[in-house]
Amino acid sequence: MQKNEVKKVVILGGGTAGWLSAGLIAAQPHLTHNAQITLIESPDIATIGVGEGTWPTMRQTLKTIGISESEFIQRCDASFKQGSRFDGWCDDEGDAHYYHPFSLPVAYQQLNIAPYWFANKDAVSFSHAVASQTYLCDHHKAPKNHLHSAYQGEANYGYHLDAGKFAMLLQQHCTTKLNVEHIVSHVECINSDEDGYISSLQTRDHGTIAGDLFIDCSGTHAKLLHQHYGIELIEQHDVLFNDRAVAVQVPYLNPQQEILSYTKATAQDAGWIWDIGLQSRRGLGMVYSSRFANSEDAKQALSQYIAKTQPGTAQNELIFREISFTPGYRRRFWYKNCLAIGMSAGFIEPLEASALVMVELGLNNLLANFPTHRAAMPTLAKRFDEQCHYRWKRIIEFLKLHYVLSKRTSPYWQAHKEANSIPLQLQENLALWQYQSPWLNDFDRAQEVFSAASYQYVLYGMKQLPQFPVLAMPAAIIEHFSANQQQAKRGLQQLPTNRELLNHIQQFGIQPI
Amino acid sequence: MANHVLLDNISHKDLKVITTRGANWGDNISCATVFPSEFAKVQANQPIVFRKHPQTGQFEALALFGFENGENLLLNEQGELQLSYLPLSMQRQPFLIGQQTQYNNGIPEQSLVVHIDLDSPRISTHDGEAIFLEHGGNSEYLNHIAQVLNALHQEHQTINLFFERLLSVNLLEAFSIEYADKNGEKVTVSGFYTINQQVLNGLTAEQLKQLQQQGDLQAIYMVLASMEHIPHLLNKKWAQQ
Repeated sequence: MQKNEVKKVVILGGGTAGWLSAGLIAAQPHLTHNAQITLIESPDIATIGVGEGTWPTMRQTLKTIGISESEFIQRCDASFKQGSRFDGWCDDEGDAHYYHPFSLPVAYQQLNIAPYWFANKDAVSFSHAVASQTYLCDHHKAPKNHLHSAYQGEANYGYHLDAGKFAMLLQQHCTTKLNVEHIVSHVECINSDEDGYISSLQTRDHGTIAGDLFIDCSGTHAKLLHQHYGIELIEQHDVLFNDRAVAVQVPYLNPQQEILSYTKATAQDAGWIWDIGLQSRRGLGMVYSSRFANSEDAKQALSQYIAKTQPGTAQNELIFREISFTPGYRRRFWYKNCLAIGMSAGFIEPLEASALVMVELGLNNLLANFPTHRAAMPTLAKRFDEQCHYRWKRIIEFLKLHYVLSKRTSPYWQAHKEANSIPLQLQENLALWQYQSPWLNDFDRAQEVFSAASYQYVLYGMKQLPQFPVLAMPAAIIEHFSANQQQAKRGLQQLPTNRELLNHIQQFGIQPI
Repeated sequence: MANHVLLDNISHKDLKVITTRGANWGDNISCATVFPSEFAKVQANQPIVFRKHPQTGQFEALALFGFENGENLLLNEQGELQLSYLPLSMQRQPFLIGQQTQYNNGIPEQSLVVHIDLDSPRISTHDGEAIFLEHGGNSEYLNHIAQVLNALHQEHQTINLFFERLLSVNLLEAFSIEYADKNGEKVTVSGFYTINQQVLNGLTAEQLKQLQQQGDLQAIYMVLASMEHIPHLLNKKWAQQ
């Protein structure tokens, strides 16, 4: 009995995924029967560190790990993120944009307000009509003020952060406060027992590290799940074409420059450019498909974007970093006593910042049903795989949605509209949504990655309106819309800008309650 | 409006300060900042509550006199205020601590200096306490003020640590005060914090010992005891409505 109990968890990889895993597991010993945690990272491998946008879930994650919001913001160059803005996705013309805010549409818990908006569609955009947060985004407002407690705010929010600094903070917290053992050494060989379960990792300088459960956070190489167990990627090239990125960090010319409250995604002929505002710099990148463009095209597009959005930037001082990836997810995510968390499990593209949230969801899943004994693993692994597959499929459909409704004319965008590139489930839903608005029944799991609200924001942002008669507006509905406008007005009056609040937090911090 | 200037014995040689307390001299205030070393004296007569400072968002402790802006329920019918203990933050008025850079052999040194608010209603040329003696020396009164300002300076240095220690064991909790106004409408005053008694009762011996050694334990119990004055203050409000 004793033999196969899970007493020690070994995490391979010291990027954000590895340290988030260490933090979430070590901070909740009651869920793991006090399992011990060791994290092994190779000194030879640089972490990718482009996952710089989080979901609102990160607030609970940090709180659980026991990191104060002040420290997080002070040390990770972090800023507040309230959603995404999509510029130029609808068509080739002009600067049309739409938002996908983190806040749910007004009255979402009671009713679906979307159908009532159609009557007003020419006067006000969907997200402005139903989410006061949209106005905050328009004006670079923070989602909270200096009197709010840590992790609480007026509007729903996540963060933009410096992934390298974030990993450092997590590492320090895990090793000094959560008793996580940290080994820096190259793993030379993986030892298995007679049942094919991993028994230990052989390191170059620290001998053999035995463990009962292994978490593969080694990035796209997936050293354990792929290189050792041979579990392949289910590639998604045919659906989502992006497989390259060029990233660059651009310091602000004026240190008090306003900071965007959202990730700005601007469509390009063969991909799109992300624009993330931190305290000291912006993180930019062009993600594109190698079928339709090369790295020179991408750098040129980025250069033009920088020249346009921040004239006067000394571009010859910028360092452009090229990244290559295969869009896809693993056939299995938990095999024997080994799980993949992070890029080792899969990666599609940075659109909608699903990378870190998938790390959080995976770990929450693991911890909700932690295997205290090897005998529990096959069943738990089966469920884990099923859950992960479901999520990846939904993510892929939701990301694809952003492309299929576009009227852009370049070959890349045209290819996105070809029927054989669109998952069946999405095709079905799109057909349905010509006659009704996305709603709770369309996504009925307790923990959906993207809710019906997200689909509404994108569909109606892309001007994809259903064909049904415009509904007359009952007084109660008018009240919901006007309550939303009132809330926007209050927010604009009372909330500081992102920059103002971040300056304040640098000086005074933010109270835990 | 405040008009803060550096105090000096030439420009201000004839100034006097009215030390009588009352509405006419700016005591129509609903609260005053207090510090842990004062809690024992304050709790005898007023509730001590915590809140976040409106500008800095840092925690501070207040002696509560009323529930609305400018409402001091402790003023008598003549508008006079008679407190058995006057908090340091009120004693100091109309003086403040200022910082000045002085050069000692070319090396800049920060020193504390006394500022005065010339727009305070307490400033007078005929009534009250003289600030300077006839030939420019400090009056007894000014010496006392210097001591008060010094004490306040010390308290300001350590107050954040006091709250950090309380927060580190989750001892603070938010609360609000509800009452009915003269039209019977419910009014909620929120943004207050106090000691969470349940958490306090559940602290380990080691945690209690730590608090005791820092001198926090007494302050904590003073705050809890002072809460009994909230209903009394509300009674005064009802009586006035």
